[in-house]
Amino acid sequence: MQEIELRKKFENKRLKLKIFGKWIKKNIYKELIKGCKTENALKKILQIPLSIRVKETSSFIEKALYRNKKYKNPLLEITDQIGIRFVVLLVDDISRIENIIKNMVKLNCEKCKDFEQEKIDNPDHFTYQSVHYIARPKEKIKINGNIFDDKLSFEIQIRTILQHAYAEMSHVSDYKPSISLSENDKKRIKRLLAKGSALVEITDDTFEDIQKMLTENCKHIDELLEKSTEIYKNITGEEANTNTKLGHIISNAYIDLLKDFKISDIQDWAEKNYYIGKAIKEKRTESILYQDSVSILLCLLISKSRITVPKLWPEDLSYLEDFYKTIGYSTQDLF
Amino acid sequence: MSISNINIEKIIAHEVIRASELNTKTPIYNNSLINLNESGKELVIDRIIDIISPGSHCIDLVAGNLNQGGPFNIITNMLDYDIPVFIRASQGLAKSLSQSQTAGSIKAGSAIFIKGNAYDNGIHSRFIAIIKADSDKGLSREIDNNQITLKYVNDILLGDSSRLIKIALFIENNPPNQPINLGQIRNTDDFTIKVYDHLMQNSTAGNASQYFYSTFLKCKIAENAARKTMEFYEITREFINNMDIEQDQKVEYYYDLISYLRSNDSSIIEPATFARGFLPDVQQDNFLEQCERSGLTGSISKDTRLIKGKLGRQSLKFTSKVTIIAPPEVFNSAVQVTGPAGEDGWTTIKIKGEIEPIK
Repeated sequence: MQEIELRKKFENKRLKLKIFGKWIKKNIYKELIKGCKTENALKKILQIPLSIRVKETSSFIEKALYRNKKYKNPLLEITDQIGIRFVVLLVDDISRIENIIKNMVKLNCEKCKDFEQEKIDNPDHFTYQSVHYIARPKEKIKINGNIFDDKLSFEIQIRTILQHAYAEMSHVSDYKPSISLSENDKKRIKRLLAKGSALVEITDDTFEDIQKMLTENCKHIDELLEKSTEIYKNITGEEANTNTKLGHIISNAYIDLLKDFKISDIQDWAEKNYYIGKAIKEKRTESILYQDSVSILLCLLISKSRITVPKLWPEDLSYLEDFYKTIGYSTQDLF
Repeated sequence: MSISNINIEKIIAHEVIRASELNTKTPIYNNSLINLNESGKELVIDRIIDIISPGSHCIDLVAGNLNQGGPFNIITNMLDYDIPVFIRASQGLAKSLSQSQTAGSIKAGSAIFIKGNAYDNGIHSRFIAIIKADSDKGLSREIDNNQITLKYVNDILLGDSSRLIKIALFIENNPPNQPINLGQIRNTDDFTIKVYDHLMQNSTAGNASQYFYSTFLKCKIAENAARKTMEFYEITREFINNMDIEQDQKVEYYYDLISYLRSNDSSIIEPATFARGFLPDVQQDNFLEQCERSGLTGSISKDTRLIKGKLGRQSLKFTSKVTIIAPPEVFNSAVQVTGPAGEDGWTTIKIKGEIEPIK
């Protein structure tokens, strides 16, 4: 009987697929950390820990023989015998993940479902959204004595957490015994799912807008701090502490003032006030404020807004008072 | 305008007393420089910065008596004197300060002379600072056998109160090309002279406010005071005009400017004080920046001669050619514009008082 034989073959293959699954998970994870720079950054993107699923035998058999799909060689043709799913926060994160996996040297990846394209092709449809890839090893990969080559394919799904929620809901409603539902109810559910999908799309777009606003601000502050680090080294001759909590607390407190600052303002300030570097250097042993690249930004803030700066200072004012005097500003009537 | 990276090279202090006591008492003159530890130096530097740098109340002076042996000549020469001559010169100046202390309210105290260097507006400059410090009273804490005792001290110097400090700073912005000969008269253009004396802010202090900068240092308030006052008026008026607010609010701020300039509370104009006192929070720093861009970097001596007409009476002109005129002292309290003109083009104003009968 065809089914018994196929079941046996797949059971055997499953053991090997599990070995490959473990290997590919480890390797993809390594690449992701590399692509996101830190493990923490990756954790912020991945909303659900990365998992590898090897298709259950019964599910394989059903797909191979019962859904009228007419596979000649289901063991080779069914592409989702292994599935990897990435659930991310934002639509923009999807392309980040795509770039990382597409650039993996050992894999050939081919996009087989692209919701962005589907949106263009079917503008009035609201349905399941996700990005799917079929991946294959480029060359033979040997793992624990098993050899895997380009005959092995697996599926990669990438979606946002909202798209994931939609997919799960849609899956649940698909597999409920539909016999108990009237045609009308089935239509209603379809309609409700489409509404849900539309909402998901709207909300994902909204989240993207929020993220854009945040990154634009952060990007500007990060650039200012980066320039401050360079100037710090130039005028003090010492390496500054960078990317510190203190630096972020201080720059956040002045975010509205810093919005109007240009990178060239820091350069201009430094050209006129290079000698302040010596005063800052001499104070390095007294307080970490003087070791931090944010000290340069603070100099510029004081030079432009000496009345406002104390009002927004997020730390103990005595540090700021000392800083004013170090860079030659009177604190009279300000503190 | 900024002064930073101050470095103290020489420091000496002498006693100064009232002129009337000089016949009966000899003040104590130090014969050697003071060896001040780092914290002591830091305190002195803090006081100088607080009193002289941006946002402070000090004003610019010009040297008056340029003769050999005059204060400007001696003080500027002190930059190049060796230690014994520096000490002798400082003793002479301390004596001259005692002789200047004739007005009734002036107290005895100490004269501190400092030679140092700093960055002034980005130029590495040498300076001489002369501080007249009145003694303050306080308690000093001493720990003996785990017991705290408090000892009364009546000669604390350079405490937090700027009322007890007067400072004159002679900053050499142009160093000499050749070594200075002893007694050589330096060019006044090579120096910036700044002075701080809280009495100068008090227009009722009379002679007491002049003895330090005028009787003792023979300096004059910069002759361009009237021009600078007019500049301040014009810069401020323009700033108010450019503020993104309704016309009636602009008029309010303009009245504040007039009141500030007419006020008898202070004889100096301080952009920072005006900003904090009258302008909205978000505009204060912008105003100072505007002043600094226009060359008003610190306090200036008030001289309203050139803007008398503007201060003499206040008027409110309307596009319909109606003008309301009032003496400035009653304008603020007796005329109220209740808001911008409505869509019908009418402005509502309130005037205190009744219409006088036609004579």
